[in-house]
Amino acid sequence: MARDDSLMERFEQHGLSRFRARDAVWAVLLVSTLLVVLAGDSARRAGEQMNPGIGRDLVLLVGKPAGAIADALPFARLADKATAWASPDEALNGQGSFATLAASPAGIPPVTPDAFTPAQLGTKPPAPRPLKRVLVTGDSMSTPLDTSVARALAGTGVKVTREPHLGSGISKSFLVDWGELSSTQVRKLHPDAVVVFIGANEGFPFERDGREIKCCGAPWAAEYANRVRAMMNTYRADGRARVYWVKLPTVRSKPRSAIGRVVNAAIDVAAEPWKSQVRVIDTIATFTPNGYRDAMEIDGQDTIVRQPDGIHFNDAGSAYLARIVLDRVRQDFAVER
Amino acid sequence: MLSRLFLGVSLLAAIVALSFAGGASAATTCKPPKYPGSGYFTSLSVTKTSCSTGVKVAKAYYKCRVAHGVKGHCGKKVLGYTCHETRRSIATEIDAKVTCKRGSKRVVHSYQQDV
Repeated sequence: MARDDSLMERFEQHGLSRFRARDAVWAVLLVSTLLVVLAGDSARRAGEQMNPGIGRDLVLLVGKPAGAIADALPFARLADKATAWASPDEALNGQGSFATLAASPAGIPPVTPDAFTPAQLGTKPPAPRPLKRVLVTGDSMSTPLDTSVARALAGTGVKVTREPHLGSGISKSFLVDWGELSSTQVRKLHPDAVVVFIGANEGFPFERDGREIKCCGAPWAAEYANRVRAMMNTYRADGRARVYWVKLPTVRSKPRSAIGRVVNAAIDVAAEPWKSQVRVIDTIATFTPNGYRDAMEIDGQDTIVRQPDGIHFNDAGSAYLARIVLDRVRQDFAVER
Repeated sequence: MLSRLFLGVSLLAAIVALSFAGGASAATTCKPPKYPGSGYFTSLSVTKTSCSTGVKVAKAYYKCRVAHGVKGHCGKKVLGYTCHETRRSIATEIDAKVTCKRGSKRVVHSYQQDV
């Protein structure tokens, strides 16, 4: 008898060889079938992302029919839903996207009680609520303000989440869609208070119904205000949260200041329906009352408050702005000092 | 008969595995480096190369580009990579996506340059 050199007898003599080669074949077939049914679409997607070549052709040879099978059956979608929690990426799922904003709302939007503050009406303000979660977000303007807010609230039990998105803008959705992003932030963090400081990178043209709306006339301001209003509505979370939207200070560059002026006007208009929940915080009166300046008096000391770029606040300026923002937050929430 | 079946199934399994492993050649997202000028690198991703190479390519491209001023373009290879840029510009800033290729290696970054 020919010697079996596979050395399988080592297992057989101890009764450990319980499976046959046929079992392995079935196992491979079963796993392949499960992969096709549960994730066939990812094979197709992987192939489509590969560079042209024989590798791509081979992957698509399997990926296309596998994707078609996965699309036809409900299992891939169910598997996606069941494992969504494991996704390491912050998924923007399209909810709240600026692309879904109505171009011209039909009818006259009703005025609601949310449009009036107790101070306007001379009524008693509601008792301050406990503050648990604060989100500080925006473009590069929101940092180091976020650090200053976090530092000021350290030890109070308030959780501060900092989410600056550098280089982003409400008028440049090609980088990040703030409509979607704000929806994701609220869904993920459930903040009681949201501090927003954004506007350093605005001025890009909008597209509406195939037309380009160039900055910075009334049509552009209206489109910008609609986007800001959508974000404010998301952040206020049906009245459960309070929004502190910081307006832009004057910057050194004249063209940028001209855009900032329009952005500030749009913020004012956007907040009108929810004056009781959205606080617009002016920075011009405090930081640049007579035009741009690098320094100002803080606590009796002449202090440089801007960064060398003439756009952003430095640490001292941000710390002072954080004091102004938190003074307003403390009117709505009970926060330990 | 069994060995032929085994061979066929193994081949099929290999192709299926290759298909699902296709994602391995997908882009890796890297942390963008600090921008050397006024603005930001807003994203950086690499394919078939390391993030540190991606950082070097992005910075080298910046250096090549601003040699002709902040609104300048880079018309030569950087670190052996051939780069293609798509821009959106307004009076105050430039936003661009840059794709650099060297064989199958790829570095994609975007930047925002204040003007």
